[in-house]
Amino acid sequence: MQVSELWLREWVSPAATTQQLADTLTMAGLEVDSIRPAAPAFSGVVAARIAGLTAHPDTEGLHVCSVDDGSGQLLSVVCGADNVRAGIMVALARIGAQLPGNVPVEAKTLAGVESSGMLCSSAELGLAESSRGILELPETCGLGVDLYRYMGLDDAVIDIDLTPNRSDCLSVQGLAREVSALFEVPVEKSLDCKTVHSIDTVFPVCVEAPENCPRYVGRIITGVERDVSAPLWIQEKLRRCGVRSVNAITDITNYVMLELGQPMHAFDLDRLQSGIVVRFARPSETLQLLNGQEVKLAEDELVIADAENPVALAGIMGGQHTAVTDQTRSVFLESAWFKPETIAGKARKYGLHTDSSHRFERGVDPGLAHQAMQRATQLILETVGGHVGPVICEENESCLPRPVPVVLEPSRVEALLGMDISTAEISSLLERLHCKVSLQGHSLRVIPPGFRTDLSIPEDLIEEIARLIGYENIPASGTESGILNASDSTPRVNTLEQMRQALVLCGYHEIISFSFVNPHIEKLFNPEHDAKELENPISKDLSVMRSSIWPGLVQASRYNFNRQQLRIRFFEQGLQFRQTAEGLQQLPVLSGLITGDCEPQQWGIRPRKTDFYDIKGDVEHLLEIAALPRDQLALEPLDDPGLHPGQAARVVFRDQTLVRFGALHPRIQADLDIDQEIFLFELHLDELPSRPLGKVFRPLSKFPLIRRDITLVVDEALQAAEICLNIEQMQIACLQRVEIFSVYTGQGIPKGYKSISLGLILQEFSRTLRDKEIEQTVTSIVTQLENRVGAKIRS
Amino acid sequence: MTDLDSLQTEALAEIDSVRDVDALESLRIRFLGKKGLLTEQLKALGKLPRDSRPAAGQKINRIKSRVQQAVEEKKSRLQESVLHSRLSSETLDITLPGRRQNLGSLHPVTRILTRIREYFLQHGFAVVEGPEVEDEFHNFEALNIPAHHPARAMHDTFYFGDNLLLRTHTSSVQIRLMQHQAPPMRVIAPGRVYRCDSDPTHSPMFHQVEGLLVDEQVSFADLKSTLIKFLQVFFEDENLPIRFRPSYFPFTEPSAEIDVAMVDSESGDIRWLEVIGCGMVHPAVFEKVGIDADRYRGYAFGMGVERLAMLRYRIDDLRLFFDNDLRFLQQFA
Repeated sequence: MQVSELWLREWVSPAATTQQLADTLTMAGLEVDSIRPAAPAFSGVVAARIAGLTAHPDTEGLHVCSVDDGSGQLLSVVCGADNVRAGIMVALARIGAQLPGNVPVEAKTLAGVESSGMLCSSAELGLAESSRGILELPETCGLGVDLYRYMGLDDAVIDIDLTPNRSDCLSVQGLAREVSALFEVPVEKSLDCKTVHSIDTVFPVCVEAPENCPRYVGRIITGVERDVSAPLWIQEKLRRCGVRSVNAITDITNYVMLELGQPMHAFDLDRLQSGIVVRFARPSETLQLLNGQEVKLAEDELVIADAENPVALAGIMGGQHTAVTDQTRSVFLESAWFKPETIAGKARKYGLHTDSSHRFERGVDPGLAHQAMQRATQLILETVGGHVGPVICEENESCLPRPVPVVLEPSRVEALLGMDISTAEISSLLERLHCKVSLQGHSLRVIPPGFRTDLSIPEDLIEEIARLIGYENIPASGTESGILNASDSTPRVNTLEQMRQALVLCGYHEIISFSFVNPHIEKLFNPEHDAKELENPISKDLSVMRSSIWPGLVQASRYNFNRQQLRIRFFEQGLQFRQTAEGLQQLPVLSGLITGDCEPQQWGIRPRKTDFYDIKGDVEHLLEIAALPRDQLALEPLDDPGLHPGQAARVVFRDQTLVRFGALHPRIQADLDIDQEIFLFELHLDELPSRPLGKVFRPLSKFPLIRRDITLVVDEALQAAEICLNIEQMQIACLQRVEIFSVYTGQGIPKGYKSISLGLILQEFSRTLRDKEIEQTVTSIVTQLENRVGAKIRS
Repeated sequence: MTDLDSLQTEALAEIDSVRDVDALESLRIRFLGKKGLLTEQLKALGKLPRDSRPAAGQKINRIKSRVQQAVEEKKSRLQESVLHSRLSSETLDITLPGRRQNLGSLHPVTRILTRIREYFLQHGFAVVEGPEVEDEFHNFEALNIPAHHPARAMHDTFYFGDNLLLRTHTSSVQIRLMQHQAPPMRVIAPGRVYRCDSDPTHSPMFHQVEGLLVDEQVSFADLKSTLIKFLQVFFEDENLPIRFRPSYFPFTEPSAEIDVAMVDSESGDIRWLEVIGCGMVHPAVFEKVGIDADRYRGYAFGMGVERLAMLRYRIDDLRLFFDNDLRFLQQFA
């Protein structure tokens, strides 16, 4: 709600500066977003009358005006506006005036004629974005009067970000009540206008949906003057409240809405057929709205219709055909109360948001309809005259909301706020808000005012009490209440934390990418999967839910490749979304990507490109942190659409894939126009045991470790694991571990073979191994490998 | 005996002029070895008349020990100089960079989340999580936001159809928790949330931390105390200006927003920035999840993680959080 401070102060004027007023409103929950001047500063502009004018001798379209500014001397001013004519009151910027933006007005010669000043348009005075012709001032405006002062431009526009519960403050009257309660000063203004009808004509109204429209007030006004604008003071107030001026009657209905809070509508009576019907739309009815938009109406949409067609979307917007213009002779005025649930969501459906729908959705005081009708009639008569018909009112009292008494226990106030407030004080605070309060035993019976549709339970009242006391005056308790047992985070969170830390030490940067991704890239990684699609994505690029974090990691790398960053290590933790037969699964994963040089470029290390074994090493780190029993882990080759078929693997834990990793599939790399190899891993956090197995200490041997190295020549296709498995099967007690320290092909090795060097680490727990035992062990291992995998010892 | 004197002179002179340890060793052998010149002199003592033997023996031994000493001293000088030249040949340019893998980094959002989590863990809150693809019930209805409630317009929601949506706040986790757990409870729920809005100051995805405490004796004063202390610790400022301002959330009553005052480093102006939304759990929410609102009360709060990160690290552009630009991320190593 945007409001003119001067307008508000016409109603209630506390002794407070603009800033103090704004601060008080903010601290009462009516957050002031901004305060800005109602108009840019200007000076030296006065009201003047065009006494006469002649066409410019040389230039078509220009006039030389003789202007009376009350100084006793007529000024000659050249003006090119269309609407310039003798007799009208205009805004004259005298020589020496400063227009907005510090533009000085000087005497100048226009096409050979000297101009002693300038006749201004609204735009030139900073009162409009654009304007046609010069500003015309009312007749009543005295000659030579300073315009800035006359128009009350020394005013502030206060923009308040109202929360949806405070629809009662969507008007000057409502804000005035609030200010009155906050500052404890009375509202000075009351509008109690009664207009007497001068003709007996009525336009019949039939409400077919009384539950949705329990009150409909209407009247006709005939014979209004045409081509008349709303008075300048109305236009100015509208402008300061952010409402565009349209025509006299529309401006007046808007004015009443801003002043009192009741949205109104005026129809061109001559375009309505026989009577008003308030009903739901019928199948396949359409309506062209005021803004030109043609809408196909649905049957749950309440419309105002005449005998034939819908003429307005109830409470939202009128139709174009029956709209009032400056040529309208007779109007039918509507002031109704629509049930919020009936209006809610309907405007949004058509992409609309109007001042009217905004108010009806949030709730309008049902008591306003008559008052607003009288006020609008009065202003219309003052502005365009006419003959007024009697007010007709279709009402269904039983469907109107009635304030329901709320029983408030004073002890509950103290319990909820943690502050002792006396019953008398509670009563007095609530009465400031126009609640009717009576004592009922130890409780208070509170009837909220009709305009506070948001007050219905004790907690609502307690908030009001807290608001008026000021949240800042409620003491912080100083003690922690309730349970106070320091709690653990879950063990899995701890494991994840350790993994993150380990990755950071391994040079990984954590990223956060969007959970929705480009469907094409998603498809590349998971062609068989039907990704969950958003109905209303931000863009096509962000339209499906990721079934893996890999697309996000790869996209983030491309972003950095394009910024000359070629060495990248990224990880991300988050959910991936898989549609399965059991429904959508939201699976937490930890995923990573590495690409480029293995180490950052530096003088002391020879550059080496990252490869499969680098990502595998990082995966091994993570598995160690997870502390899983090794005998329950298995490494398997993996066929994955995202990964290179020869460089992809998965780690299986208790029959579930725990990790998958490998090289990005060259086809995807090409598709995404990436020049370098990328390696990826994905760890399924859900597959980790919820409580990691604790580590158990193994005693240390006091006896020396013995190491014997052997080099074998084996078939090139033989997997290292095959060798290790065969050794493991021998169950040699003193063999602590086997280290593969070299794998070699090339010179000295026959084609189709490779050499592989093993370090055999031997140790007995309780004694030193004898040389003979060592030699026997090594020989037995070599023999086993010769027999099982065709290995040849290489000397 | 002049032989002996000249032998000593010769030995000392040669020891003095020798240049390396090996030559010194040869000298030692020449004079002091088993067949060395001085050793030979001792052996020759027997040929002397008996009464002159002791004096001669003493003299030879004196010379021998003097030469011995000279050899030792020279040896240690030579070793010292060998070490010295080795050390000087091994001097490195200590200014060359160390050999290393670069350190990675945690995303600033994670760092802030960790800070928040650790604070609340220490204060007895447990950490819970909930799904990001939510249903209308948990995200809206149970939080007292029925269909077409104007508050829904404040949440530009991503929809999937079939009542499914991307959660617009972590408040949905409150509902899931209260449905499955009996009071008392004290939790925070961090996580990603989504709004269908994208411009320089709005990201379609961001992070929140929701907090919820339900117990028999909980008041607004407790809420104030908890959050004031949290903010003072978070911003490491015991005198941080904090204000509670009435606001509106359909699921709390009374509701408040908390602003902290930040001093603009350039202009010196004080700006109030909203950091937390909070309030006392609305009875309608308790009703939806089947908690007795006469017996229990609670408070709930929610904070935007990116907002806190921007304040703490003075980041001025929200989009930086999700560009994943290495130059940005490396600053948090």
